[in-house]
Amino acid sequence: MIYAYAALAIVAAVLIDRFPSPRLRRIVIVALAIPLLLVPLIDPSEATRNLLADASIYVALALGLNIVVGFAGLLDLGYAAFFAIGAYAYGMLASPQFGLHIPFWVILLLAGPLAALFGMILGAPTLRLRGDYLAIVTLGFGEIVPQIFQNLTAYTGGPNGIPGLDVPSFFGKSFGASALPFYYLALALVALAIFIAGNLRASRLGRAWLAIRDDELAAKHAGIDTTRAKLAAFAIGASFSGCAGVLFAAKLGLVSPDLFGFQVSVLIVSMLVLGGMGNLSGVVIGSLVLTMLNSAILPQANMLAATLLHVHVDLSQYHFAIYGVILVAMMLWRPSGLIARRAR
Amino acid sequence: MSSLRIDDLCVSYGGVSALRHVSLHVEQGEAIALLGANGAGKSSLLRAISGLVCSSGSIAFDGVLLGGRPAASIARLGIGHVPEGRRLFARMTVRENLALGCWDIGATDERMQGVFALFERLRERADQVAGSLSGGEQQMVALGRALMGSPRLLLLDEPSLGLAPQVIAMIFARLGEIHARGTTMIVVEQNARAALSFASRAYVLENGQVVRSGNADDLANDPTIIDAYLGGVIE
Repeated sequence: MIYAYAALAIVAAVLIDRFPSPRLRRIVIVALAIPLLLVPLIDPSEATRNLLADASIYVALALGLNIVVGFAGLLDLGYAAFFAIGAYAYGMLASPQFGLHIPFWVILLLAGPLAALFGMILGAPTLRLRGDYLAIVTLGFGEIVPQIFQNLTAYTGGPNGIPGLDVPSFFGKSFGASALPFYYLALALVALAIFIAGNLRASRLGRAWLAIRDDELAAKHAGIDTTRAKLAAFAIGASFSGCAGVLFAAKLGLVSPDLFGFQVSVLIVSMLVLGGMGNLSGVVIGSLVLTMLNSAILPQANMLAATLLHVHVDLSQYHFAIYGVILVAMMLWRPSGLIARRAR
Repeated sequence: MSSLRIDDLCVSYGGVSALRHVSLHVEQGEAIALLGANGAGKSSLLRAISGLVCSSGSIAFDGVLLGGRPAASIARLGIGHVPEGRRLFARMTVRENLALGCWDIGATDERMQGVFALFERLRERADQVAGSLSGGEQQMVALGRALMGSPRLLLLDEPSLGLAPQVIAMIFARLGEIHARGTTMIVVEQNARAALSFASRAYVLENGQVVRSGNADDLANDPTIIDAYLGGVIE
């Protein structure tokens, strides 16, 4: 049933830009969003809830990166660093590590500004860089941050990370062991991210980003403050990642440096490439498809192969190979993503 | 007081010098032409004024020193730059392109209408993607984009580049109208004849230095200038 819904959602998302009236578009989006609230109630298995929660966190991450890469055109290959910063903020402030037990909600609120600050710290030295050079510097930043967390053993628990993080509670009621509250929270974060990104895109700042993406020199010629616009993109993009990191850490109950490596950054960039950079519905679909591929479609395919062909394989082991094939195929046949930006 | 005063300006790109000790001045409401061969430093001079390249020496606009200011802040002072090759945002509409010309203050309908009044063609094309326009129309958008910021000084880098003679005449006629309203202008041109008949004074750049300057009419009749920039002596 979930798969049927997912298929329907993907078809709707592909078609949505062709809908003539914005009102109809809005109705379809709302109609599609309602089952998202109900799905975990219909399917009570914890595995599904867990999967949905993770998928939503990844959607929020992809929406954040989309502001940097999709809107402003700044290729950031170290985006997982901000995810790590958010997660470690929760890990260090809400665990027995320092005996600090700051409430989840406070950290969730602070993680955005904190990650935004780090976004600007990374952004500042890269302002003059473009394209490949920018990608290399951000790649470095993405490598440095988990490394720092790994080496600061006294504060971060080193390679083992920090286990036993506080379980959040909502008005005195503990989240318990279920992923369901995290799913709803992540969904709220996604909704907020879509709302903010959609409004930013139409704003003056958003137009400045698109101008910088299309031609940075021309943007400067036109008198656009490219420095401020680029820093804002890094900061806002990072803040989503920071919040997602807090959710991720609280849900998992532990943080460790290997959770935020280069693969995570690559995975999120792949989601954008697959879905279509700069296009919000494309980004959502791209991240859903890749998360589902990893946690639902490949295990199902394993089972299918075992029952039908009597072959025992673990396709999940090959997921990066499969991403690679998908990306190459996308570049060949649909370079602007599943859902290309609307051509006028 | 001069509108723009440049003293001892030097620009170099990684050891290669593009401008060497250039000094010039532009009076309020004046239109001047910068002539020179490819690589003489004409575009670099405009870019230095706009703050798009680092330079040494001093540039003062209405008494305000521009050195070290970022490009966006120089644009806000009232210097509009129409770049070489137009550099429009090809995937955006004409209207969006124009709006980006006064990004910091917000595009008002009044400003937009001002541009449309000057270039009626753009009103029809307002919602078309800029990349789909003809060269002349694109040049109008580039000009309009610079005008959206109500510049007091307009820097024009090769406004005739790649355009048909008829379109060039139209562009210069519009430039004349803008100039008549009191906008100070610096025009960089390969098309020296068009530039000299438009401007009142001109500077000639060679290898990054000012080698000649003077009245546009005098230069237009000067045999060496005719020989070098106006396609030989007309008998």
